[in-house]
Amino acid sequence: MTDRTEDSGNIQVVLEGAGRKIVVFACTWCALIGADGAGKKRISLPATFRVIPVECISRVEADAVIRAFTSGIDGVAVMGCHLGGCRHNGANLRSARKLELLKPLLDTVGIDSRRLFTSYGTAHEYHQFAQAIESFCSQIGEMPPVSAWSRSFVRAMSARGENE
Amino acid sequence: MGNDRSIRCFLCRCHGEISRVIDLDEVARALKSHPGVRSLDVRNSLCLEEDMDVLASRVEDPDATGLVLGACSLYARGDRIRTALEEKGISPDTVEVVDIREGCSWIHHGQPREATTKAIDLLRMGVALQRHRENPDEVMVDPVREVFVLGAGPAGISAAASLVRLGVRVHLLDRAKSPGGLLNLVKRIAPEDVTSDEYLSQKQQTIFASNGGVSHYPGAKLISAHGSAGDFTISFSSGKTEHAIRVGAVIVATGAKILMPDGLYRHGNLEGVLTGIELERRFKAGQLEGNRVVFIQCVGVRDRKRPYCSAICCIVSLKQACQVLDVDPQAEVFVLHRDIMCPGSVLEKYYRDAMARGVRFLRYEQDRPPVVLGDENVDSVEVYDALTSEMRRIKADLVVLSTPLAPHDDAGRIAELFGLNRDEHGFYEVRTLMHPLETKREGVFVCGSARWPVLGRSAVLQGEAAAMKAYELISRGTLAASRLSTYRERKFSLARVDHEACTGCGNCVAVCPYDACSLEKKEGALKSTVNLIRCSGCGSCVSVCPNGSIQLPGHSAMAIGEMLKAVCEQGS
Amino acid sequence: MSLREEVLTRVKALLKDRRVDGVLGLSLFEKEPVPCLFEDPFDVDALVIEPKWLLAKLAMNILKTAPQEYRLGLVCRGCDDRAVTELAKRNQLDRNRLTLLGIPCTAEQARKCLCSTPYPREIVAGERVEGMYPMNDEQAQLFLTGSMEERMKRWARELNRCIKCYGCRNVCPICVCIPCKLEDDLWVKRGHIPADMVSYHLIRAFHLSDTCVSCAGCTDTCPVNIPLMLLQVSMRETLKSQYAYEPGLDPERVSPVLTEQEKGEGTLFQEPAWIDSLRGGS
Repeated sequence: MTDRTEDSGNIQVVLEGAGRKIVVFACTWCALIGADGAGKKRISLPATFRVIPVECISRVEADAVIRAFTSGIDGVAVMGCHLGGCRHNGANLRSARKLELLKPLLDTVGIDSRRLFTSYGTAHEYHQFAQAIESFCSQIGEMPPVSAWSRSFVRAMSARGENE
Repeated sequence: MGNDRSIRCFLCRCHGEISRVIDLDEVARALKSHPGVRSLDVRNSLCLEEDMDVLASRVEDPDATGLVLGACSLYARGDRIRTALEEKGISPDTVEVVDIREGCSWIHHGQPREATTKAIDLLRMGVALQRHRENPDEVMVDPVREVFVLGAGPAGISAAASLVRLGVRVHLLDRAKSPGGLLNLVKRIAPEDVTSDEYLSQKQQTIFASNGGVSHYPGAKLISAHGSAGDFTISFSSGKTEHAIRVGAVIVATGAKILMPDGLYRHGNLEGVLTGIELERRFKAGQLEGNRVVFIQCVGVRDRKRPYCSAICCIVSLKQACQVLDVDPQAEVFVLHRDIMCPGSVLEKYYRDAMARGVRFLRYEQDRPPVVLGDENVDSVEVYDALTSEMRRIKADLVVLSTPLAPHDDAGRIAELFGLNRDEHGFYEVRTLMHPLETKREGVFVCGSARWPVLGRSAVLQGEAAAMKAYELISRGTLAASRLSTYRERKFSLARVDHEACTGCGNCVAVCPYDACSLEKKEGALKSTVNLIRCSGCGSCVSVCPNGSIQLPGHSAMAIGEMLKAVCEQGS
Repeated sequence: MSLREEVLTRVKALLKDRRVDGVLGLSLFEKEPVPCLFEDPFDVDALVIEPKWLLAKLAMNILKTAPQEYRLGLVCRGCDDRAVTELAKRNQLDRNRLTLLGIPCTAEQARKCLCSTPYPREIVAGERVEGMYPMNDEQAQLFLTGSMEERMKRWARELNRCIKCYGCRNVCPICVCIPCKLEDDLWVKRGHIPADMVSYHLIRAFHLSDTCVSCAGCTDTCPVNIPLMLLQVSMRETLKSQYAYEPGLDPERVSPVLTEQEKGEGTLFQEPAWIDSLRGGS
């Protein structure tokens, strides 16, 4: 492996968000093509994201998104085709509605809904995908790790124990 | 499943493209300790024949249930590797290609350590997916080698002629008594300038000389349609008899109707105010009176109620304007328009020719439409000229209203019978992007003005194209449902219902974009069932099922859950 | 006549006229209210209408197990009425076999449940009282406002008390699935200490996002007093403001997350006044 120079600006950015885990559900008809294009162009991207290809984002269960957050994944991106341009007759529109409905619930309990990034038709081109991933990763990098959220549970629990 | 080591892993160096960044030794170490991985090899280029042979031979191991390949993206060589392995007898369902080149080494070249960690994650996710992948249910379909064509206008006739030439039996149904559709109402057809008889004679000859290859049912009425791609049953009445036929594909070529204005521009109240089609009737009868003719374009269209351009009216009016000049070269012809839509070289020339022949064009504004004046007969038209900003009064003997094509009144009924969507204007909707004839329902194609107003030449073109699509579907012999798609090689996965768990809530039925899910009574309770021919594997149903009783076996909730777990476990 | 007497009269009439085979309501058993199925008009005097008691799911189970021709009357409040509607929309009960005898809740009850519609669509007796807007409640505001960190801490404190008794799921008039995702290791890890209560409660809350009839059953039942119904408020507000949709109010309306957007009128061009005179078209 090559040595890394920590003073390089690019790497510095990457290290800020290091340790964060981001999952990207990418529609095979849209965002996955963008991801492939970004690869072909060899655009340097933060290494915190992991892509899960899906046939259509309508496949993405809200439960899976919730489960991702509660098991310590810091950010979830759901990237599909533009609304009205779904290969499956508008299936992504219903999915979009569902995920939009999940956001207020996440906000209610203090899992910032900005951790759930939804994109419809905005990541089809390689540069769009790269830009979307970069800004999402850096946004997540600026937020505390989601595990801090679950850790606070333990803290809150022990604090309660002390008071009693 | 479980902890049995059943997955064989192969990593591709891609001649350094991957191994230059990712430390494959470390990846190999991490994966070898994975409880599901049976063996691991690192090769130079999995996409080349020699490595492919090694792959194939290793998979012959009966205890290995799947292959996970760390290689390039599906769009690069990944899919080709799967196809090549399939030719060697390895089902694509057992091969997972994990993209660690485009998706990892090429985008993280400055961060080898992170890239290595990510590659391990991605491969563990691939292993998780492969271990929890089940083979989808399949049904085999033997398409009926007959096609149903609804509508005998230019699109329907062309479709029928193309198919019968390929030896396919066609059932051509039309509600009109004689074939030709709207062309029958027209004296000469633009822009070719021929009569409708000349226009369609050759194709009609093909059809009626086909020795029974085409069954033509004029004056018929559709009653019902059931079934799915490869095998539809359609019943209709023709005369006093009812017919029921079985066909493999359906071509909807019902055309559109000509919108009639109701009192608009005093049509119906004032002698001399005609619609375009009424003018055609006069042309056909040779009874054109008067030589001062004013055409008004965009009547009842491109407004809030019908915010579309009917696409053919400008050309039709230009044709008629020239025909007026043919009858009387001294005639004064005005075309009052909002925009002239004549795209392409042929139609642009058509427009220029009309201008050169003395047809005068005047632009009006939508919110200041022309006003037709006169007591009993048309006297003149008053119009605000948008270019010179002045009111003008044009003397006229005839005012011709150029009305658009609109969906047929029974388009809704036909859409319901065949399970089609209609767009916001009421025309049949086709698939987005690259599939202009395919509809929501596999095996049903739409062509001609039924999907959008077109000139005769486009209707012919679309009819022929739809015929090819139908032929593609019915000519390949027996097919697995997962291959039964006219727009892709292979469907992703087909949904499966666990009838024990299904509560019959109907959420899947509500969301299925293909009407593949339906509720059926099983042992007294409603249960969802999936029509595998209609299912396209999008997974909409999975995400709305309250208790996970419907799944894509190839991409189950369990698999996604395990993939998420694989992401979390690494490094912790 | 008191509200109870009016209900008694109606129930007796229903049974006497054989319009229903039984009426589900409450009666007193050793001074404690219990659900009771009245099949004989002479027993009906034992019927009481207080306290508020969710009966929709019980009615559903009676209809599921009774013979196909059995018709049931149900003394119900606003939340039960909405629950019946939602259950019928999901094919869990046959609305034609059910006769509802609607009664309104009191203002005090509405306040306690933070109920915005404390009455059924049709009431047989009594007076409707104004509903509550949850966000006007001080206690609710505490849980629904503040910075992300404050919310997280507050909810962490609440959810940490959960003993995973499944009471909230069992009492919910909408939860009918067997098996249930909340018992599936894939979604909610079992046998772990501390328990995976965040997954449990968020998944449960989201499953009810477009069906919750705000009966407050979950909150009432919770043995450790977690204000569970407050998890639904923001989602309910979103449905209301974006799609004008409220679960249980309209039997004909499909949840907006299960349908495609209604296509709006084209706005490309202005509509002159004369256009309505056109005949035909779609």
